[in-house]
Amino acid sequence: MPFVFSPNELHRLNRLAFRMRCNPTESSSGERRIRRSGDGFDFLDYRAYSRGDDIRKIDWNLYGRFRQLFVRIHEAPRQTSISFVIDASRSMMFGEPRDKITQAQLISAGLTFVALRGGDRVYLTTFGESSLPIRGPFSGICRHSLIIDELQQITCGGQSLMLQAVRQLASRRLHRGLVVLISDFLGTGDIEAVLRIICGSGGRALAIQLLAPEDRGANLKPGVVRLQDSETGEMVQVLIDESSIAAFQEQFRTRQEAMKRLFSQRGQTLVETMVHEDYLSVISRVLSTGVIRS
Amino acid sequence: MTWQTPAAFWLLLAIPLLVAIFLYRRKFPVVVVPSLGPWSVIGTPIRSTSWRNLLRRIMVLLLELAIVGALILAAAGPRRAAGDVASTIVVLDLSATMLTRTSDGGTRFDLARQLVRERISSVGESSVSMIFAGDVPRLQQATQTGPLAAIDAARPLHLDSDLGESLKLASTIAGDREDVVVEVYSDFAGQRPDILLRTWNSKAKLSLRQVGEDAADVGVLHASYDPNGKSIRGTLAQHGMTGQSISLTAHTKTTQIGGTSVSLDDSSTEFALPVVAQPEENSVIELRIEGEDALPLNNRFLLRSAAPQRTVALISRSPAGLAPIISSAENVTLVEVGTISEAGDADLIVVDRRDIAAGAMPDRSFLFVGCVDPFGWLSSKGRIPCSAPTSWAPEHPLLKDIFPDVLQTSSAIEVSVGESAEAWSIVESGSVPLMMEARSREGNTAVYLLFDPFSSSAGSSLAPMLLILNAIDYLAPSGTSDRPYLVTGESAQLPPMETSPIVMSPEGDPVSATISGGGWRISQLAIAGEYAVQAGDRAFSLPVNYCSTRSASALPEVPRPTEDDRIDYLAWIGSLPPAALIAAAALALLLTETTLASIGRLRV
Repeated sequence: MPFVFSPNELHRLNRLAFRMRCNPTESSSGERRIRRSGDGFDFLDYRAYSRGDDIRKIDWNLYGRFRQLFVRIHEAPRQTSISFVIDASRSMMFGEPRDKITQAQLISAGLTFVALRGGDRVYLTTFGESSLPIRGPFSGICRHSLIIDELQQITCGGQSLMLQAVRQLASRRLHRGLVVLISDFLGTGDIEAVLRIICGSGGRALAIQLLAPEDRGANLKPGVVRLQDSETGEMVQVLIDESSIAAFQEQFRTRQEAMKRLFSQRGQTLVETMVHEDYLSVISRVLSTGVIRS
Repeated sequence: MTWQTPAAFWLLLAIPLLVAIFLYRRKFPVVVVPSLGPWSVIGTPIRSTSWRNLLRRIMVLLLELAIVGALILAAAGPRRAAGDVASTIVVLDLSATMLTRTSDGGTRFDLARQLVRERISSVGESSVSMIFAGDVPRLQQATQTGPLAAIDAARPLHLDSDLGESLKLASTIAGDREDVVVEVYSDFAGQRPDILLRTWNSKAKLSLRQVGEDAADVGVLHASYDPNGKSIRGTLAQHGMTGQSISLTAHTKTTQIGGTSVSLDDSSTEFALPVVAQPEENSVIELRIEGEDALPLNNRFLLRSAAPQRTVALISRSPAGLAPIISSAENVTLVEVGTISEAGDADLIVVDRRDIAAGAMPDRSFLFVGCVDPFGWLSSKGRIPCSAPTSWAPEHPLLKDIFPDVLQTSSAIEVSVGESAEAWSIVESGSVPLMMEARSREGNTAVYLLFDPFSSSAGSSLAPMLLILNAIDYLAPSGTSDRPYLVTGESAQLPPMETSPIVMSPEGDPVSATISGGGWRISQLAIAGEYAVQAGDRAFSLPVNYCSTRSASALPEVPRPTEDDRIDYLAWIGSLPPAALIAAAALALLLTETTLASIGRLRV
């Protein structure tokens, strides 16, 4: 996979940023603005002097005007953890012209670049047959090459165990930041439980659904066929014709709408994309959607 | 059991191949999808290891193996060995005369059935082969349903049963074995026992068991209506009633038109019944006999215009197809159309079709009417067997006698002819449901009337002569002016033959032929071959395949069931070429697969 950004891609990525308002989860200083006083340079507010305050922060001009002591409050920018949870199950191997896992790797590479450049901390994990342990934190743009190396090691196989991966994040308290879920969300189990874990601690979920034409019932020849699930191996016998295709698409649409409704109710973001879309466009669309809502 | 082609069993080696193909093929293509998702709701879950699936597959495999095995068995050509023949062959007469009541209230068939049961019980079912002497002899093997069950299922409703045919079959089965006993249970109404004994040429022992009493009876042998003389003349045949007087009355549908008293002096007595009332046009006249005793059979007689009873009329454009039939009758008369009434006591009347309507029918076609499928054409699956002649014996009852509660013989049915020349059906007028149809059988160039009294009570009410006349009417184009046969009460006036025909036998010897009733009476058809007939300015040939009469020394050499024909269907299949067998096997397997696929589709 060519993980070398072209100058044009770099130019576009440099203009993007996560504009979210979620609680920073890291104590290290960063570039994420928060409403918390600290040692930053940006003025935030005044408050009355109380005993024990640093007298160097007393605004003497105000004292001269009001004859009362006020101290200046400055912002304390902090880093936010952005955890990328990538689906590496067998179903991610489908798709044309590139498979879903390749598209997921490209999107992850771009988004991690944006995140590192924004001063955030990046964590990376996968779920599938050979799930990666949580890698990171990665801070600083110079660490992006390490993330690229980790992404290149992802191999697909097995079933989707997203809930297990999110629980693993929760065990390290990383779920309070931004959790980017990149998956096809086909057979991933209980999405609601995943959102409950993330949102329960104030975290935010950004779900990027990658779909291939096969997921929408394409490329099936008419006749009686046995369809085998790529992950579980289960089979069903179906007569492929216009009516069954229509029934499938109706079912598929219903499921998609249910999932969108679930994310909407939780105030989270779900972005549906196809594998043939340009990944930079996808990144732009992702960063311009509901991520900024809080 | 022996095998004609044992090498065919090498084909059994194909069975393992078939099993391997069955096991390793895939019924339906398997498509791997990212996730079943909605498909799991729409489709049918497949559990490859389920017992139901496994059982279904095994059953299909067994079915295919059975098909292939049956074809291989057929190709091997099974033959019954001589030792398989039962030691006792029972021939049971299924002619309708067996329904005649005996003095104890039962029928002759009941008595015969009881005797056969006792005989089977004494010798054992396994050593008995049953032959049912119906229209076509039917062999009932002991290995099938069992002779006792077959006897219970048998019904004596055949009008044309021929014991001679059945004895031929018994003789073929018995072969040269001397330890086989052939027992015939019959009333011998149609065949004289002495002739059967004389013609028996097998080494097996023939035993004739006559059932029923020799009851007194009387019937109209033939009759003709003479409108000029205002009388009906005919002949009565009687047995055991010499010296008695009977009352003979003539009725139409509505009224009695005459009556007389006849004293029975001889075995056949001629009578002249004066007609005092003019019958309606085209009405059916019924002769009724009323005597001192109840006469269950042959006591009524139908005629229309004037015609002999039980006359088989054949209207032919080419006598070639009729030759075997003509030659089987003792008394053959060729007549012109319209002179059927003058045919007298002929057993068989042959009318030249050229005299009816030239070009109305294709060449070599002929029309057969007058009795209920005596030659088995309706049930024949192959070409018309023109070599199985049967004539009615006087003892055979009329249909209305067999089904007195169903048939209303006094109700004549008017039949009109379709207008179109292409019409191949006779449409009945009135509210009577369609019960007759004339149709062409491909390859046989024959037209005949479908007339099944056993399934249609309406058809049974038609008298034979009514059928004959309507059939002639059908053949004649609607514009034909000369249709004297349709005019009741007037005799046809046709120019008589100028000279007697000159008939030459196949060996070139002249054969006696005389003018009789407007036609020719040809006798001495004793030699099979091509007879040359020169009648006036017309010359034609009359092929005769064989000649036989009831008094002949041997039964007719007609194709009849042989042992191989009677084994089972396998013998016939075995005669097919190997390519046809392979094609049949492939087709059977394809059908099985298609059926399986259809089941799969339905399950979806």
